[in-house]
Amino acid sequence: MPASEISRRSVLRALGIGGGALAAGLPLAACGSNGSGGGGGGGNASWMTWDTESGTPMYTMAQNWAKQAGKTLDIQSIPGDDYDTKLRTVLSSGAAPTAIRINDDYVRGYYAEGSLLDLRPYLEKDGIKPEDYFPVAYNFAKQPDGAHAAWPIMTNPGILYCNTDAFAEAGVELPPKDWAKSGWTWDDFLEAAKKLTKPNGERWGALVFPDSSLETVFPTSNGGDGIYSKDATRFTLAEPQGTEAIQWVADLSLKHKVHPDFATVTAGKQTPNWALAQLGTGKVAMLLGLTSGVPYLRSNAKVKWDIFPTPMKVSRTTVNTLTVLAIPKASKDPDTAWSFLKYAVGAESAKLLAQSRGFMPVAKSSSALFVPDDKAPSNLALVTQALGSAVNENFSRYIERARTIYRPVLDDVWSGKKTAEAALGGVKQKVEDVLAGKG
Amino acid sequence: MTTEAIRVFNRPPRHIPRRVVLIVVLLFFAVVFAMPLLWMISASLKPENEVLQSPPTFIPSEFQWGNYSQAGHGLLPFFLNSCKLAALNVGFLLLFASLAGYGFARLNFAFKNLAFALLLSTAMIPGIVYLVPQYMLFRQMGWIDTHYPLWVPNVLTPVFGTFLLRQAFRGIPIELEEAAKLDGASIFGTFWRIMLPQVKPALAAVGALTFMGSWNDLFGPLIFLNSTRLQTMPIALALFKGEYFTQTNLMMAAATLTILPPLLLFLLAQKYFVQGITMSGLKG
Repeated sequence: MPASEISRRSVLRALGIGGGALAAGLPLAACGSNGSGGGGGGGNASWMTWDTESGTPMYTMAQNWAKQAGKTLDIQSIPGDDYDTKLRTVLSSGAAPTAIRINDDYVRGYYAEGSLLDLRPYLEKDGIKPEDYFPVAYNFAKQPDGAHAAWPIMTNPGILYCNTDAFAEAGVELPPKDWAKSGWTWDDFLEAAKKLTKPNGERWGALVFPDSSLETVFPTSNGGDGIYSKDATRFTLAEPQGTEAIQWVADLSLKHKVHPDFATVTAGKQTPNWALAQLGTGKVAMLLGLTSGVPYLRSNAKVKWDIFPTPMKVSRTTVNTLTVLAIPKASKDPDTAWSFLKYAVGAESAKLLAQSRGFMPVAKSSSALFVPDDKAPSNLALVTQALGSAVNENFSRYIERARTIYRPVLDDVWSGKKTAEAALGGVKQKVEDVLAGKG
Repeated sequence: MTTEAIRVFNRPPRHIPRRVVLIVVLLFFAVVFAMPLLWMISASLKPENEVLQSPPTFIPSEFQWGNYSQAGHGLLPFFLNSCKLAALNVGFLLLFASLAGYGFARLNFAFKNLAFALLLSTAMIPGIVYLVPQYMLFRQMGWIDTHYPLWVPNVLTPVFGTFLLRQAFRGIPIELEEAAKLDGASIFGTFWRIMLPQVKPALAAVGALTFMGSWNDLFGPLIFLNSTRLQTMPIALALFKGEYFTQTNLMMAAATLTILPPLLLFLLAQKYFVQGITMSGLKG
């Protein structure tokens, strides 16, 4: 057809004919069935995960395991926020994959529901030595009944990212590089933030993201238990050490003006990489974050930066999150699944997983892999030190519901409408009822 | 443009100041509505460390066209899967919805109104409620990790399409149908040769809405597909989102590529789309 004859009508007609042909011909031709028939997939083993990119260390690790084990591994990659919906759907439908990746927040809940296999028989059979692993990782999977419900493979502790260019420009001394060194208190942090802040939002002294890292790091370094008590029955964030810590963080913005207002920070949460980009582009001088931010900053930071200990009040503690694998109780081949889990914490995997410098593998021997190179951070030894003082959130099986109650009232603290004591105290009983399974 | 806007626009020259104000207001809203799209295109051409630069810039310091080839690499299978599912959904849904819509609008049969009410009531049940039973059923049928769950249930229960086309058929003068009957046309012949061509705008509207629904469906593929080779464009986009950080520029490049087919479809079919919504009585 000559170009002059192409009209909207002719294009629509062609699309209609094409669409009709497709509609008529394709349904029977192929709907892509591979005969897998369920969450178990078509290979010898299946692994459900939210790791999305082939070629990444986790993917490569899984493929390497399959190769050396002589298995076909069906990697079911479920991106996005609906991973747990899919996981719950396949587990409820009796179509459990061989092994799964699981959000560390929800291990206790899934185990309590009876969805996860107790790994103790495998640990005993293979003579796994707890002392070979970072305690904060190994002990995480222990349940109140003694079961070992999951298998962490990488750690991700909280540290303080500093824009060292900003420190040099403002003539402020950098925090100590050593975790154990005394000093670098909350007051020191505030003083540094004041000196590093430039007027009119040109540069903020500090940025602390309102999430469970904040809710854990500051209350625990103030001598508290974190968000919940160790037995996960009390809402300790609403107790004096917790409320004092939360108020102190809120005042960084409300009173001292060294921190962006929390409405901006919360809005930034919707944008990928927002907090890391604030540090990497020089808009923020100090950022509390997890080591998982290291790969982004290594590739994209426009300023010089390094990692330092979090500030302390009573003790220097930090939060830790984990990359966790587990075996569904309904897994059709738990032995194969255990072989995969064990491989994931072995020396070969550790070497691969440590490459990004964002995650420390759980075996203590992995510290030797965290050596500085020509790119920041130079203070990589800090990650091992941080793990020595890191705590996991004290998880409850009702953590999701508890969050829906206390997180909204925290917004009133960040905006200055209420004090931390009033806001959190107002929901303490309600949260504790939920933790007790009554909510 | 609304009727009032057109009326103001066509007024004599003494109304020029009012027209200018109207144009400025419309341009303002056009820019506001277009801003996310423009930001997406701008971000798709920037280096990653410039995407969230402060103060923000609109024009990239250096146009990175390579982002498109990098983001587009490997997208073709996802694109073809999305095209296939959109074609199946649109084609079969139009067929079944028009048949059902015509039946509810023009044919008389026992319990017609009850059946129609039942049909509409099925749309009131949130999908999440029957997700697990549906998954178990599809699993027993061997449909998990196939494309069937993503189009067969949709086209067999076209509630919205049936409703919209029923409204459209009801708007056509009965004399047209009677004339066809007098000429000896069968019920199906009347439907196919006389009535269906009269509701082309409504068909276009239903088709466009179905296309968008299928094209943008993230949840269905996420739940019912396991193999990457069967996944669709929304999943491909979600794959760009990392757990701890995201290559925003590449994700925006992929998003720009993703919206091209619906954008093109809307540009081509916008006249029918608007007409279809209007004639089926859904316009506010």
